[in-house]
Amino acid sequence: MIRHSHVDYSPGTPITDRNPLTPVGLRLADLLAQRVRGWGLEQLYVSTMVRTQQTADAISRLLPDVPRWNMDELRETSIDDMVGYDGEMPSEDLVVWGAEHFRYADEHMQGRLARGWERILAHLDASGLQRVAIVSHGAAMNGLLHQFLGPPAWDRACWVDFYWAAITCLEYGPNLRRVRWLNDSRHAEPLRQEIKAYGETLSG
Amino acid sequence: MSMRTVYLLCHEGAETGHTTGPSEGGRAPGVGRLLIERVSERTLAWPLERVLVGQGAGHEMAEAVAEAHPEARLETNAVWDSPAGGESGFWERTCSALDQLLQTMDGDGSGHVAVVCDDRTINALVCHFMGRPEPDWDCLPFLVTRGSTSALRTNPESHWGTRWVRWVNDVRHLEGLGLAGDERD
Repeated sequence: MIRHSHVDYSPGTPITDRNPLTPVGLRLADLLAQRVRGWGLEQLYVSTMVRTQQTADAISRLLPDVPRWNMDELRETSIDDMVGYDGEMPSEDLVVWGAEHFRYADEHMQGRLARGWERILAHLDASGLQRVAIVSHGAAMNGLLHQFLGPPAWDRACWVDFYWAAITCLEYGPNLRRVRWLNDSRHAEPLRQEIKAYGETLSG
Repeated sequence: MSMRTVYLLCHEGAETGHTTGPSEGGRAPGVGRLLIERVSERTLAWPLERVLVGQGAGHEMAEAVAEAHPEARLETNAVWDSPAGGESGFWERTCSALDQLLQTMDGDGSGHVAVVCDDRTINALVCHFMGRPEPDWDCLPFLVTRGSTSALRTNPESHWGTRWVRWVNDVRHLEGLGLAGDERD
């Protein structure tokens, strides 16, 4: 499970479904691709947002034969998750959302994540694939992680602070569900200072 | 109140992914010494103020880490011990120890604390921190390799949330030691 590469989330920058990777983010995506090159990946499942598509593009350039599914279910929380909301519709910029908006949108997001997760598992069971990668987003990956570990569902009280292009490894089998490691970003070391210039990680 | 980070260091006596027992009195042999040195070097990146360890295993690592941080206090407390055989209150004891630690850190203003403990204790601490229920002890949800580091952070000022798991089972500093669990690349 891979988080998208670096996006400019510094104060004053809106967070929507369209933020692209920064120039350093594109370079980090290339480092990520080199890191996973020898892992024998057999399939990519990729969120359809711009930043995840760009991240996965770097992997696809190095591994053009690896099949890729682009999946709406793996998208980040966004204004699209506010469908049916009774109150006043917020702006699409997540930075200005209140707790009530996130509560509503997260419930919608968790529903589609669950559907995406089931679709991936069904594909794994049917195909017999053993090493696959999901490319998604910070909040969505928190939701997916709790989906993987079982109830209760994720809420925003506690986050995993997935770093840009960080890799989390989940082992899944008939009698096994185990997080092998969580949030490994050693391939980002050469760019860490450059990234830091944009601001700290989400946790501060 | 500002950011607090608790680093979890899996001690040299711990096994990988299954039941572990304390190795009181024994000194870490061979690769164990090297592992302790690597962990201790890894912690130099963090301004540790306290190093906590149980009364059973892990003392050699805790002492080495404390030596690398002359300003840090080394504190021994049985709340960080591995589960004793058949102990029924392990989950409650460990969860309560973490809550207490975070409270103490708020009180005394310490920002960076390391806890040296085993893989089961780290699983309990991470699960509790994440708001998850008691795990199945025969099938731990997190692989935690000996010598690995994990980190938990609280930041009441973060726009997005107050509790953050920074990473679990980082073994980058153990490269080349040929230990199980460092097979990522």
